[in-house]
Amino acid sequence: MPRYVPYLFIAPNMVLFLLFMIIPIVFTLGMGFMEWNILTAPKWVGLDNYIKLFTADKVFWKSFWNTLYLTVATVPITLVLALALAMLLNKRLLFRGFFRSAFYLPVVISTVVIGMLWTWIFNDDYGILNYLLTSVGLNRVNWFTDSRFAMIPVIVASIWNRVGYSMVIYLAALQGISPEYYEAAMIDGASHWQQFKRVTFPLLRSTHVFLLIMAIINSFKSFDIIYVMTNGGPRNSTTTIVQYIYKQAFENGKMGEASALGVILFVIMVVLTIIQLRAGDKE
Amino acid sequence: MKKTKALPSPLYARDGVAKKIFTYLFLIIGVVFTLFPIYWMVITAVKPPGEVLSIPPTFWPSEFRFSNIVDAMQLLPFGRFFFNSAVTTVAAVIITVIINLLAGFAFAKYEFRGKKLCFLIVLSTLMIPMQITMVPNFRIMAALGWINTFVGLIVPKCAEAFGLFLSRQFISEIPTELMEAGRIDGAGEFRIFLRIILPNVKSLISVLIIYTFMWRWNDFLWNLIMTNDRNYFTVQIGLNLLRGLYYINWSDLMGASLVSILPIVVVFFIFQKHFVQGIATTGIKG
Repeated sequence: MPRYVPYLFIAPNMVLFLLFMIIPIVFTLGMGFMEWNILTAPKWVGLDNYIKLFTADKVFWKSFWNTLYLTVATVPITLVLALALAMLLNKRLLFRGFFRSAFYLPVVISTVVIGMLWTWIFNDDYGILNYLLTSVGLNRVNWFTDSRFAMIPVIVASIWNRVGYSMVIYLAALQGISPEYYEAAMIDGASHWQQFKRVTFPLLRSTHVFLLIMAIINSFKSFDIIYVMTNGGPRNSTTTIVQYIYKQAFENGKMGEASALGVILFVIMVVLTIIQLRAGDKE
Repeated sequence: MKKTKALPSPLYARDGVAKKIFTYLFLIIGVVFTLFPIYWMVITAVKPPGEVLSIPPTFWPSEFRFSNIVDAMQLLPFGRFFFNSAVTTVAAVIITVIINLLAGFAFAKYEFRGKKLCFLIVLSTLMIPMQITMVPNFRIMAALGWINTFVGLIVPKCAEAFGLFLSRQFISEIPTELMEAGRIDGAGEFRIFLRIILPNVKSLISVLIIYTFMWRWNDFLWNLIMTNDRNYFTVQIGLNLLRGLYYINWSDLMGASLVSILPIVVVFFIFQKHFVQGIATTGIKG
């Protein structure tokens, strides 16, 4: 077999990755040092964009905080729910396939539709949620006009969208745990909770790490749902880093500043991933 | 504590009746929460105008106006949007699946210089949000004249790392002896790929097809920045446009949404097992 054969096989993919992912990242790095608004030629401004971001840009810090808020609010809940459901499904049940598919269904629905769906449910005036709240005596909430609450519909929609994915992976991992562990634990007189703590949870370690990394990356990447539901508002209370990049680049015409922000985002994500991988490897 | 039986099943199988009832109860509650939004979308779509905004809201339409949905689809050229989605999705699926199989095969079965580096590059693309590359990509697309074209919508999206990993994992489980046998018979590498590998990865191919279909059908941001000509809008962009019209009629919006998710939901129902199993294997590798 000629030596160049494997390269032929991987070439289409590698060409595409290089052209549309790797090279653009390098460009983004370069463009972070420029001021460019599409119509005029790019102009070199050195570290100006970065300085502006860190010192003069309130929206940047807000977007940073919002991204953090969104991630912390969605990731743990999603994983806990996913694990709980997976454990419930990991039994001999009737209609197991139906349950599993039902929980997975939100994963295949487009994020645009999910955003609109949940916008309707959370609608301030006519949404079903406010109706249910008022019918049990609580006050209605102005979900989309009150900047304190606007992130909540986004959080709920995001969790709804993603639990199924993690659940299925947890389920597969659970099914890979040999029953002998549980047999031994039961012989030792362990309660169900103890079995979970000492057998199930630790044995899922690599799954936890994998799902955590995936969930955090997905949360950082999350764009469609916010764009459709709130477009970053009201008053930037739901503007995440990626929302802000989009706004700066395509609504405010500030491609240089958007690129600088992109670089910062990339660094954050790389650091986060490395931290998690290290933490997962410990022990 | 329950009696220990020699059952090759998780401990929970020895649950008593109470535990079983609780399990079903929690699962049913979970399903209700999960499916309620979809049910709500459906009935909103078919309620007569006016009833949608009634307070208190009705949980069952007073009558079923399926014509709502037809009307909603005619507010914008959804026929054209569906056509565009179909073209871009099918083309992307064909290209992506083929190149993923090819590359997955090479990563699984060959050793070559730079293999680790290439794999690392592929891995890193998973971490790169589109927002980081979209500005330069937009510039590249503009320079190539690919804005508002099918090529621009399809080609950059064909590099799909997930599919590659899945292929690699699947194919690595095919015994190399089969390949050796082929080589002894004088078959070239590509022939081996076609005649020996491909027939053995049928379920991989289905998983690749349905997942790529789902991702491309649901694509939004890339299509958003690549098209401002309505003739090239896909269904998702069309929905977004509908949402932004001067009045929001929730019934129209839900109706159009319902139709837009029909293709993928139908595919999902037919291939449920593949959807679930395909993803499960990626997780196991960790």
